[in-house]
Amino acid sequence: MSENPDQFAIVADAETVEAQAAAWFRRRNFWTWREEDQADFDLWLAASPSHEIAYWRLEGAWSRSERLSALREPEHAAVPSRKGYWSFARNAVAVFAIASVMGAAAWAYFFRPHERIFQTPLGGHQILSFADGTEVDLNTNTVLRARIDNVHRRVELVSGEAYFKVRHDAKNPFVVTAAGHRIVDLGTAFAIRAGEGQIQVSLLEGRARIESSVGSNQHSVDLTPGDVATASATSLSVSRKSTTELSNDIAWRHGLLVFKYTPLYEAVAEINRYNNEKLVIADASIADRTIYGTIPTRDIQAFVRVTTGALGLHVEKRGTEFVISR
Amino acid sequence: MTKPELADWFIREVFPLEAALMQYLHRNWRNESDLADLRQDIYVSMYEAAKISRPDPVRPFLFKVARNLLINRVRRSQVVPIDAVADMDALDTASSAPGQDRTLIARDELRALQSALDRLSPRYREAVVLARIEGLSGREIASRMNISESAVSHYLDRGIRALAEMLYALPPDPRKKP
Repeated sequence: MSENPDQFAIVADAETVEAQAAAWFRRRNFWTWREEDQADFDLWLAASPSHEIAYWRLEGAWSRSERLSALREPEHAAVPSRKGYWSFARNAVAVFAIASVMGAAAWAYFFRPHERIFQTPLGGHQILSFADGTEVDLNTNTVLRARIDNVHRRVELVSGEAYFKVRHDAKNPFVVTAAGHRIVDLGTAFAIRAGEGQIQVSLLEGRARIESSVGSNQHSVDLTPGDVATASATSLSVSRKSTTELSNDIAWRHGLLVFKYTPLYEAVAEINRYNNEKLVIADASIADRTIYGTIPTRDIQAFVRVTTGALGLHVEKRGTEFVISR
Repeated sequence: MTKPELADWFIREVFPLEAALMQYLHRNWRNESDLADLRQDIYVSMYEAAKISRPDPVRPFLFKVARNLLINRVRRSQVVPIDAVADMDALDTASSAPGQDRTLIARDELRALQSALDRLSPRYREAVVLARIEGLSGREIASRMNISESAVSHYLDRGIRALAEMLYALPPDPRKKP
């Protein structure tokens, strides 16, 4: 196999042409592709119809092999919602039928699909590294659908919270959708949290754009570091936070929660995102007491120590609940 | 670079007929080492014709091109033995029956690809799977497989070609490992 696909003869046998086509295909898709490469490639393509055909043939086979992996995922609803349940079930049956035709081993290696779904359990934290250099941290209870390959850089934050450190590529921007809003990377690190009816996008570095349909109007806002955009179906607003506040917000990446004069009810809601055992505030009058400290996300006992020690409150364990009272 | 419309046409209409074409060439041409060159020449003829107007339906046209090419080869060539073509009169057959190619259902597609992957030698398959399914770059494949980048190039080039051969050229039943 020649390392330089750019040397070609005027009349080449099929073996030579196919080898050259494969080398070009490989260089274009799996190696760094420079402008001068493109010029050489164009020359090679133009030199003979047989070159073009051989190249198309590889492209065709390659994309056909991709289409198959697409069969695997249901087009909608990564998690079966009530509404989508039947279509999900149908897909599941179809996938099962196909799976049973194929061997289990083949299934395993073949169906690591191109579009992939990543899911963390309650209290989970997963770091994803994609081939394009993008890194994504998934926080607790999060579902992310990703389609990142040589052609696409699309992810959907279905639920939960994630931090994105995106390798910027102006020609092929990284796009996150969440609750119908689009966040387009312009060279960036940002975090997105999808909550009830709204999402929050915090920009830590670089630039990003959020595109939302508010009512029937299309809005888009360019974010700069420190901006926190809150988008719902009916509104889009941007507030600002200090760098320290923002990095505290994503301390979960290190398994920590940072509270700075945070109202107890907020702190409790945060801790509950990570644990099966839940904290419950029994007395509304203490809900606004503030709490200060750094606590491991999964260490409910540490939180209990702070509330009893620093706040002087009572905590009683009842079944799987920690009940906080005066 | 945008892919020309002609490329789409080839991918959509012509390459899926390749298994049938190769079977036809196989039956009608003794020297197996000529087959890839014959295929190339047939495709170039299709290309030239399609640039003027797209033949429709494609299948009978493709086999007509193949037949003419074989006949010309026999006539022109001094070195091709007289029995190169098995039976000149039989060249017409096999061409008009509508093939199954276009009606492959999803499950058959899956089987075809799965067996295509299975038929690759392990290292080639690994490189192709890492590139195709994991979406890794050449450099990442090198470090994942713990081999040099030029070795990755070799495996990928052969693997990609073999995949095309499996998907397009070979009939669904396994025959040989590349």
